[in-house]
Amino acid sequence: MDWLSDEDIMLEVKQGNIDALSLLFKRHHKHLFNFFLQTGVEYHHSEDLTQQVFYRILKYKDSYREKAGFRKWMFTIARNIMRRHFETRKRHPEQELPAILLNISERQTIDSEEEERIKALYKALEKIPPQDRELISLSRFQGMKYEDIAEITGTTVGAIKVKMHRALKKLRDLYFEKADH
Amino acid sequence: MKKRIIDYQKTDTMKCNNTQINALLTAYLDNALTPEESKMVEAHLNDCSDCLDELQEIRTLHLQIEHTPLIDPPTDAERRFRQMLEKQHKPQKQSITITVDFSWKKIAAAIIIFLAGAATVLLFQSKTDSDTSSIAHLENQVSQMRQVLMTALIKNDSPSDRLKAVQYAEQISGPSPEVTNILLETLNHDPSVNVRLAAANALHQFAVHQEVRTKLAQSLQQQSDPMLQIVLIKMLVQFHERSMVPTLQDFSHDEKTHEMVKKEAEEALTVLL
Amino acid sequence: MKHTILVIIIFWLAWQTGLSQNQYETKIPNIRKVLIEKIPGTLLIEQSQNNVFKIETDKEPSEIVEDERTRGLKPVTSSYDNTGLGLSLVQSGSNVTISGPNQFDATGNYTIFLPPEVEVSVDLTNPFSGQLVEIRGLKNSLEVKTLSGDIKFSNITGPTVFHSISGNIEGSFSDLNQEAPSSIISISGLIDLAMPSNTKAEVKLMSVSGKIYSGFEIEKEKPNKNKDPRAGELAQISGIGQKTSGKINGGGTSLILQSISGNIYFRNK
Ligand SMILES: [Zn+2]
Repeated sequence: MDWLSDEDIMLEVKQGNIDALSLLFKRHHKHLFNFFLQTGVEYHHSEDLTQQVFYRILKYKDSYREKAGFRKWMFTIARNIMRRHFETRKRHPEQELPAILLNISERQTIDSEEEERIKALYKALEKIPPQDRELISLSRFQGMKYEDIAEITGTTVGAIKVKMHRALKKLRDLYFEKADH
Repeated sequence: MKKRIIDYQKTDTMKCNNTQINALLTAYLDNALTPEESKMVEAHLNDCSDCLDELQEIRTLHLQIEHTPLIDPPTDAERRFRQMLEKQHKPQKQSITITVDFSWKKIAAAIIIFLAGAATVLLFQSKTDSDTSSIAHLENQVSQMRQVLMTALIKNDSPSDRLKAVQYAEQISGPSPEVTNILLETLNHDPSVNVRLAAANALHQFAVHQEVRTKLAQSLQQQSDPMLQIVLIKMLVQFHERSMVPTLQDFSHDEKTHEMVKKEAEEALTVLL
Repeated sequence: MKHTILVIIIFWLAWQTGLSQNQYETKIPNIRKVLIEKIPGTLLIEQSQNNVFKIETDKEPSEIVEDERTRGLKPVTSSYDNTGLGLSLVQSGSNVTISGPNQFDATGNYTIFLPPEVEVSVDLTNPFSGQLVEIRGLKNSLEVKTLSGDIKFSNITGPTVFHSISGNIEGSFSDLNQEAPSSIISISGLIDLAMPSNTKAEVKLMSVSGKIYSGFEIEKEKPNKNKDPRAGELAQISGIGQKTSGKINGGGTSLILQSISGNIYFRNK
C-alpha cells in the first residue's frame, strides 16, 4: 500500500472505504503527535488531540477536495484543534514544553553528548514564541513545504521565507549559546 | 556528521547589513527560493563572509534537528484509533430502559405461605388418623408433603421449578399412581426437553410395573428429541419391553431418525427379538 | 394471554426520545419473567443495575412508516417493531416477551440488561434466530434453547435449563444455585463447563458416544437397586449410555449434563 499517495488513500476514504484511513493514521500519527508536543501540548493531551484530528478527518471526509494535499489539510485541522485546546484550558502555549521531550535517556540509549544537544535544542525551542515553534515544528520536524505552511498559517510564501528565517535565527541564537556552555 | 556539529564554533557577531538578502538564507538552504532570489543570494554570498558563516550555522542547526528523533506516541494509539473507526462502522448504539417493579414477589411469598399451610394441615390430619407414629408413618408424611409440593411446582412456569418437582417425585417412597401419572404427563407434554428427560429418569424406578413400561413405550413413539428417544430405549431394553419393537423398527427405517438413535434402536432390536 | 397489553405508547415515546439521546427509561410493573425469542444477529445478556431493564443495539433505527389508515390505531401483531430497535416488546400478565422479526437478518448485535430478580427464558429455536447467545454474570434462573446456535456464559449461578441440538454449550459458573436443579443438554454439540472447586452437587454426566472428562472427584453412588428380577442381569451391563453419577463435595443440588455425541468437559476452577 506504500505506493499509494496520501491523496489517493484519502479519496478512497471519501468514497466510503473508511478503513483505508488507518493507513493514513499509520503514516502520520507520529508526526501529528510530535507537532502537538512541540507546540506545548502535554503528553496525554497530545495523544488525544492526534485522535481528534483523525476523528475530524473522518467526520468531514466529504469536504476533502480531490487532489488537495492531505498533509496540508491534516495540519490545518491539527492547528485548529491545538488552538481550541489552549483556549479551553488554563494552560498557555508560552509555558514550558512537555517533560518527555527533555527526558531523552529515559526513552532510549543515547550518548551523553548527543543527549545534551537534544536537550539544548528543546530548551531553546521552549524559549521562543509559540508561533515560531509552530513554524519550526512544521518545517523542520514534520518536513512541510513552505507553500503548504503558508496555506496552513494563512499567509504568503514570501512572508513564510522571512518568518521562517527569523524563527530559526531565534532558535539558533539560543541553541548555540546553550550548546557552548 | 556529529563531529562537525561538535567542532562548530559559534561566531558571535553577524555584521551583514543586507537584511533583505540575509532573511532569505534559510529558504535558500531549503531550495525554497525562486531562481532570481537564488541568484541574488549566491551573488551576495560571494562577498559576504558573515552570511557564509551564518549559512554554515543554519546548516548545523538543521542537521542537529534532523538527528533529533521524534517521540513515539503511546503504544495503544493505533488500537484506540481502530476502536474509533470501528464505532464509525456501526451506527450509534440505541437503547431502551425499563424499570421493573417487583410486587410479584409478594404474590410468590403468599403462595409459599399457602403451601406451607396446606402441608401443615395435611400433617395434622394424618396425625389424627392414627396414633401409631412409627418411622414408616413419618416417612409417609414427608412423602405426602413432597407430593403436595411436587403437584404445585410441576404446574409452574419455570422449568427449573418443574425440574425440582420431578426431583421431589423421585424421592417419594412408595409412589402413588398419582405421582406416576404426573411424571408420565410431564414426560409427554412438558415444553422443556430437559424436564421431560428428568421425568424419564425419574420414571426409571417405577418401570418395574408393567403398566408404567407400557406407557413409556407409548411415549417413545411420540418423542421427537433424540436424547429422550435414546434414554427411553435404553431404559426399556433393561426391562426387556417388547411392546416397543414396532417403534424401534420405525426408527430404524425412518431416514429422519438421528443416526445415534438408529444405532441404538437396531442394537435394541437384536436384543429383544 | 387474556390481558395482553401492548406498551406501544410508551415505546412510541421511547422512540421519539431515542431520536435525540438514544435512551429512554420507563417503568413496567410486575415483571416476573422475560422471554426472549428469535433475536437476529448476536445476543448478549448482562446483569443490570437498579432494577432496570435495558435493550441496546447497534442496528439502524427502523423506519417508521407513516400510514394514514393506521393513524390512531395500535398494531396488534406481536411482530411489530414497537421498540424502534427492530424488536417487539409485549407484556402479558407478569411476562414480558421480546422478539425479533419473522425474517432472516443476521445483522445487528443486541445487548439486553436484566435485573437479577426476573426469570429469563431465551428461545432461539426459530430458524430466524441468530447463532450465538452469550450470558454474562447473571444470577437469574435461566432457560436457553437453541437449534445450532452456541450458548456461552460466564459467572452465572443458575439454576439453568439449557438445551441445544447442535450448538456447543460452554462457560463458567461463579456458584451453583442450590434451590433448584440445573440441567444442560446438547444433542451433538459439546458441553464444557467450569465450576468453583467447592461446588456441592449431585451430578449426572452422560454422553452416548462422546467422552466425559471431569476435574471433580465424583463419589460414585451405590449401584442402582434394580427392582425387576428379570432385568437384573441386563441392568449391570448397560447403564443409560456412558454414565457417571455421584456426589461432588458431599452432594447438593442436582446437576445434569447430557449429550449424545458431544464430549463433556466438567472442570473445576
Ligand atoms: Zn550578508
